[in-house]
Amino acid sequence: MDRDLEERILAAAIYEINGAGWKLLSELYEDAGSMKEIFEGFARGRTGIREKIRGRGSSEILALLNSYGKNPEGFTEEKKNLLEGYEAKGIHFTYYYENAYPKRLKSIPGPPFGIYYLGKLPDEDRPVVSIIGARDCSEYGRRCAELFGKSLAEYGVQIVSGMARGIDGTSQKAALSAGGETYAVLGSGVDVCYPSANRSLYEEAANHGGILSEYKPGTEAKSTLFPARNRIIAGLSDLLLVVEARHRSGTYITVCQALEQGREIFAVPGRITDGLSDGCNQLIKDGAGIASDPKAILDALMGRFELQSLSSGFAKTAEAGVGKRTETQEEANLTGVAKKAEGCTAGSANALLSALLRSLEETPQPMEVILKRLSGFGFDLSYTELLCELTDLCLLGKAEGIGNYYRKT
Amino acid sequence: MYSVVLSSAPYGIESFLVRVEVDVSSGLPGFDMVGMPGGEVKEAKERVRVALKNIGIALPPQKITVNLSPANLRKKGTALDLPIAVGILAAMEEIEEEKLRGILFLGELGLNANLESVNGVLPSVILAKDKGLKKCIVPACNAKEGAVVDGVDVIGIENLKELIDYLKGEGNPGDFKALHISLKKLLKEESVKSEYDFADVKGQEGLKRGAEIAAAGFHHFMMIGPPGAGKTMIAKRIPSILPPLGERESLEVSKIYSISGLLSDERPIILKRPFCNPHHTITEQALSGGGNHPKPGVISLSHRGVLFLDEAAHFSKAAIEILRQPMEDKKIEVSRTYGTFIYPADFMLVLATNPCPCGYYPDRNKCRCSPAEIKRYMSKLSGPIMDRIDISVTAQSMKLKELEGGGPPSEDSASIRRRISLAREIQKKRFRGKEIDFNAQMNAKEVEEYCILEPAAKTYMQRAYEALGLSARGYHKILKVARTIADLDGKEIIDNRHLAEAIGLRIREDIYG
Ligand SMILES: [Zn+2]
Repeated sequence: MDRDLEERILAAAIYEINGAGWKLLSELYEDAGSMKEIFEGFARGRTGIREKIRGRGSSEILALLNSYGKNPEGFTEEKKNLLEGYEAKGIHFTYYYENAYPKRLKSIPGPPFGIYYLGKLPDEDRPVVSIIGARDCSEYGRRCAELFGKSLAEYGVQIVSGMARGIDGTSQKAALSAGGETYAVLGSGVDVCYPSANRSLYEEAANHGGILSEYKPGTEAKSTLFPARNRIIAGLSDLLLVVEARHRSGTYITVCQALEQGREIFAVPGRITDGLSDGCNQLIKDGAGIASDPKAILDALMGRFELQSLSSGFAKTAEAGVGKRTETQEEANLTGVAKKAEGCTAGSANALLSALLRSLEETPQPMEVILKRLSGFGFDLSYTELLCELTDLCLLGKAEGIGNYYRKT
Repeated sequence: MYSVVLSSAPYGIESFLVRVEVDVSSGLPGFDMVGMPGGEVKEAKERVRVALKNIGIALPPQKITVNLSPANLRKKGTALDLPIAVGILAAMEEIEEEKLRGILFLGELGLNANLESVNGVLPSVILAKDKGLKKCIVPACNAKEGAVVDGVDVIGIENLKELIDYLKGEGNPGDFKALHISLKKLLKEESVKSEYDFADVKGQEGLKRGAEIAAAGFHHFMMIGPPGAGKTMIAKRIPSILPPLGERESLEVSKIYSISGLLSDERPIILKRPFCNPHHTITEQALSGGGNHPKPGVISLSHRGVLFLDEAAHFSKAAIEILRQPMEDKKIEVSRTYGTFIYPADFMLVLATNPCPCGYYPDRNKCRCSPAEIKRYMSKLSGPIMDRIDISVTAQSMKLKELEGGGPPSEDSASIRRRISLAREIQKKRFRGKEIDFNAQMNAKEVEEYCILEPAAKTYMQRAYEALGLSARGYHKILKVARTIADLDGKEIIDNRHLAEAIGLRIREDIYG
């Protein structure tokens, strides 16, 4: 049998046991020099092995090593089937001492000893940015996650996140839709799609990037596993971007871990009155980089990587993003709308629609507020008239309504 | 000796005629009652015996038998005390039976022989009229209730002694003058005053407009918004913009309240459209009616008016489910071992709910609820009830209301009601000879027949259908609401503006469905 394969089989076999983590296994490995020697040495009574294990008190590990001693070939064959079973489901396994194991992860305290993954592992030669943030994000957060996910992916940056709803999933979807790659680190087995609502993202990420987990296949998602998962999200990255986070939230924990790991941190600034931006603003105050636009991130990565746009679309995307529309673009948008407005002269319809678009924001605003703003632009509409105008915009895909709250899309 | 006295007992919201037969003959002294008396009726004999004793009339040491005919229907309530007492007096030949002809007696007796109020006087007087009786004798405090019925003299009495004098032709006849009240006049007076008026509501244009359209087309209506946004304030005022009660409707509603014992000397008849606002902890039975002593539930007390469920998402699923049948049939059937009762229940449903557990969605600066939490919160309302609600409006939060300040005074209910009445006239003409009265009640075929769109509006609707991912049901609701908006606008053909507003008032099936 191929020696690397044999080593991997033995690593997978022992890693599957509860309590056999990186700390114990790396100690054993450093001492014995190979996986096989851990098993053989144990059978021979090599000094140190039994003592190290006993200290950690796992009878299961001892039982496993014993069963190898009784029939080494049979044991290896049996555990080979285990790995082959995973492979049949597209699940790969690698461990700390293999070349495939992500180098970035090796530099963090307490790395996972083994990694299961669907698809690929992040490319070592291209930059990795982890984008994280609140699950219950605001519209603003969602737009920012989209903007950064998309723009960075267009420059070949690999986007890592946790596939959660809100910021995580949004940035990853944006990266995929820009033709980029994204990697999802799960707090469950890689064959368990959590949250299930993100199934299409899960499937696409497996094909254009990967799904990673340190937990063995079949492990159910548990919130107690998420903090540990977050250290991997931070650990895989060259730079961590926080889009929206409350103070002392789960996101914030990830950031602390990233700081411990010596990762560079950027945060998207928010309004000081938004609870959802407390965390980000605090980070900036504490010295995090200001993610004022995707270019700021690219500049930070520039020193270490050569960046090339997948398409030349970057400048445009950035502009269209966070409320930096140019006049010409707005004009262009408006003529389309104005054409269909009936019973109005082209000029006045144009002006009204322009005022209407200016009155809308990315976050849903109640109609009462929109009415006030329009009135500020010199258009006094009745409630019903405004409702009709807004419905028109919705049908054109330029606005979205939730109850009497409307936002621009 | 033998005598017969006429009375009545309630069944559902109607009363049926009861012949109280009394026989007093020699035999071992006793007092027997037959003919399916209910629990309260069985107790009548003690009240009657003591009351008679206390006005100085001792029951003879003879065998007294009372039969309540028809014997196959259960008689409930305490109104048979008086006819039983009168029957005994006639059988004892204290009063002439001749004097009792053509009179319907109702009343509960106190031990001191005073007459206490009873439920169901109004339906009984209506029954008397139908049966060609000319006079009803009832407790004085119930007299006004019956006095609105034309063609029957309703005489209120305070005490059994008084009644005996009257029947004997003694005492002052002026004390026994029949009371007559003109319902028409009362209704007319009532229509000009209303306790709750839209003039008091500043701002909230969206809710007001939604309520107007809903009231015009009899669409069920939902208000979504944070606590304290004035949803209840709006709901309470919806009856004031509905057309005033007509005479027939007023009697219909009053009958329900009469049977339920909710009429009084101060409010002898219902002149306003009802507004019922049950708490979300209400039991299913209190909502639907029925029970061991069957009486109408809250949904029937809302008949011809507004049933308002505040914090609708907190009502039990079973309670919400109860609304389904009446919303379709405009009545509710309650089955009990001793019979099936049908109570009318034709109400406009107004729901108010928070959009999410915290109440602030879609204001994401305040609301941290996840999409799943929002869906779960609204899911109790989904299905059968949401299907029947055509219009939903989001209420603005209190803070925003401050923005309103000043501005022109709000329109009063009377002006809104005028527009609604016109729109309802149009519908009346449209649906003449049909089984429905209002736009909201149109079925798919009727929608196709009556919701005629301008050519441009057809394209517009097509685009909406595609852009908004509407369901067939959602599509029909929009057309029905647009029909009502066009009616309010006095237009026969529906145009883009009508559609656009109707679309803006739809329920977002993707969020709240
Ligand atoms: Zn909320």
